[in-house]
Amino acid sequence: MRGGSPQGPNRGPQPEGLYSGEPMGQKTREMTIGICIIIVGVIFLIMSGSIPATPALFPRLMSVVAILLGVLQSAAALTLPADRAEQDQSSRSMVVFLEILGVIVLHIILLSTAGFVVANLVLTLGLFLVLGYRRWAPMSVAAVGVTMLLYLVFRIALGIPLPTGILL
Amino acid sequence: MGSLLSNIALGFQVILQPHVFLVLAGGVLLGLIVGVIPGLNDTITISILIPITFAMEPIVGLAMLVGIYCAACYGGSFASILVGIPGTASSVVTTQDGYPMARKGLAGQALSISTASSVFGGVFSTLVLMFAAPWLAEQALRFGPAEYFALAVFGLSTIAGMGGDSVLRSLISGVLGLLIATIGMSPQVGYPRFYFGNPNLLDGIPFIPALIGLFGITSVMGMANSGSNTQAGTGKVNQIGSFRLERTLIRRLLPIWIICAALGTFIGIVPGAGMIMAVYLAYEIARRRTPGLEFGTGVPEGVAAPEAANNSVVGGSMVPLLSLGVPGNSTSALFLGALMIHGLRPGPMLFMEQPQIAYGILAAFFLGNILMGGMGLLVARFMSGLLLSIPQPLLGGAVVAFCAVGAYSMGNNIFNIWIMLIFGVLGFAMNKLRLPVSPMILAMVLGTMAETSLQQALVISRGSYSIFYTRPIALVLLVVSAWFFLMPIAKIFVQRMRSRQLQSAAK
Repeated sequence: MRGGSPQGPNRGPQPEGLYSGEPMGQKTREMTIGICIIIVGVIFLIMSGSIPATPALFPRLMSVVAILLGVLQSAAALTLPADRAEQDQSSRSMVVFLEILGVIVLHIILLSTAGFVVANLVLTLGLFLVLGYRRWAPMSVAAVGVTMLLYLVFRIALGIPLPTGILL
Repeated sequence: MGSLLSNIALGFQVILQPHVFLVLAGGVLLGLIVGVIPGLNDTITISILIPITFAMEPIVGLAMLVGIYCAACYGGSFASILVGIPGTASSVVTTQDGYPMARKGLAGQALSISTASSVFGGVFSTLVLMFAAPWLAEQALRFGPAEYFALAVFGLSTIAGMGGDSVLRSLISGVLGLLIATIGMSPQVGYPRFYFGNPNLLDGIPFIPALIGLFGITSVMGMANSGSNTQAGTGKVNQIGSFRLERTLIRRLLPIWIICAALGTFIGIVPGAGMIMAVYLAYEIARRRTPGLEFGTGVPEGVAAPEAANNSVVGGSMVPLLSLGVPGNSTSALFLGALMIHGLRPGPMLFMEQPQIAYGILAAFFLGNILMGGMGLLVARFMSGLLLSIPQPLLGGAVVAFCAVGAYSMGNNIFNIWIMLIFGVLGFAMNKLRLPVSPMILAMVLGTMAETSLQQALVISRGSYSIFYTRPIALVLLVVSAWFFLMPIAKIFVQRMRSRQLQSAAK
């Protein structure tokens, strides 16, 4: 009996590593894993072609293992029953994730142009909005508070030169 | 033995310096706080705070991280008991009896049981750690490259069992980590590999920013989905009740504490097993031991078992890391990162050359567990309501801001924020595909170790692979690895055969 099964009255968040199969979209998911790891393996195998023998040995070996595992995984995926129609839920979290990424990319760009203070205010406010918060007063307090805290800890206490732009 | 005790005394001396002790207490408080808040846990917090410890004196920074690691899974039980929502994944099982207890007006007693069990588990495993780690480290002094290669292979072999039911998934995650580990200069000859023309990658993928991305950025996703402020007030318990633990109850729980603490410590020491497995097993054992009790309706044993187990995993998981330099789970991999940024390598040399740090860490675990018990009930009583009412989006925004600055500060390089972002995407994708992340992280560490020691061993043996089977320790480790690797696979085949037999029998 390995680790029991998470089937108590309270499941809570799905703990990492305790994957239990669920029918929705399973075949697609398993297939995606298989194909992705094959692609990664092939890329590393091709790239290691231009490397001399000794330093290439380990990566080559590993990419072959990756490809083999990918083939096994895809073969196992083929035996699964076809998926039922996918539900909409996953696309919603995908949108939120892309929005988070967008805000972080904007943050990186602002860091090297406008400096830390502006970039961090934009980052925090942007994320509050993206994550679904709409009350402006607590939001602004939190954004200014987090920025001040980070500035105090990293710039003043730890002496790390945060990027400066037009402001600070 | 004498020198061990004097070294342990040295460790306590180091930690009992006022500034170190204060930081340790601060770490414990922080661990309790992040434990209570659903969505935050020790791994996320430690990965975010490692950059801050970089600027501190090594033992001060490490003491803070130790405090967090000790206290987080205990803090997680407060939310489990008081609102029925586990604060961390390791306290999922505590919800099953802790929350019903609270509903019966016994919240105070449940919290006290959780406290006593956690402190018992934590102290138990710390004592094991204190004596096992230096001993193991002493044995490891005889290790050469061949043994270290075998050790890395052993660590990698445990990956097969990490993903719970799916061996293939764990292996795929692991091989991905091994490939990532090959990015950068090759060991020995220093030939640049897979660096995409980017000089920032010549030293390999920066480990800490990658971990910040994997843990920090991915965690924020959960905070978006849960909406704002849903949990506070929904299932709130009105009556806390008495915190008193009667002596009869303590006597009743004592056997469970001992069994579950021993189990948790053992599971912690074996690389790859993990806390989740420990809490489920502990709960199961407690249930089988006391058949007369209705588990799930609020029995004290149901709180005591998982809480003693999860805190004892903490100490156990540090044994292989400190003595051999092999991390057993993702949190101890983070400790490896925290040691490495100070130029320290865990393993036998740490105990020899830097005893104040090696034994200081052991003492910090001991004192951290004691502090945790004292501070825990205060946090549970006066702060958990407030903490549980923090809107999740605000928390998420603050976490990402900390992640970004933390990643940047590792070398003051904006490139590290990109690495954080890329690994955040990877973590999100793996989450969606239900690929476990821990095997990849262990493989990222062990891959480099395996390759380096393999090349060194082959230089010593002038290219002959016989070095791996003529040296006894290396041979034993490799044989055990093969066993660890094949066991989960064999188990799957047996299960399949059995289910087929059952099916045909049913027909």
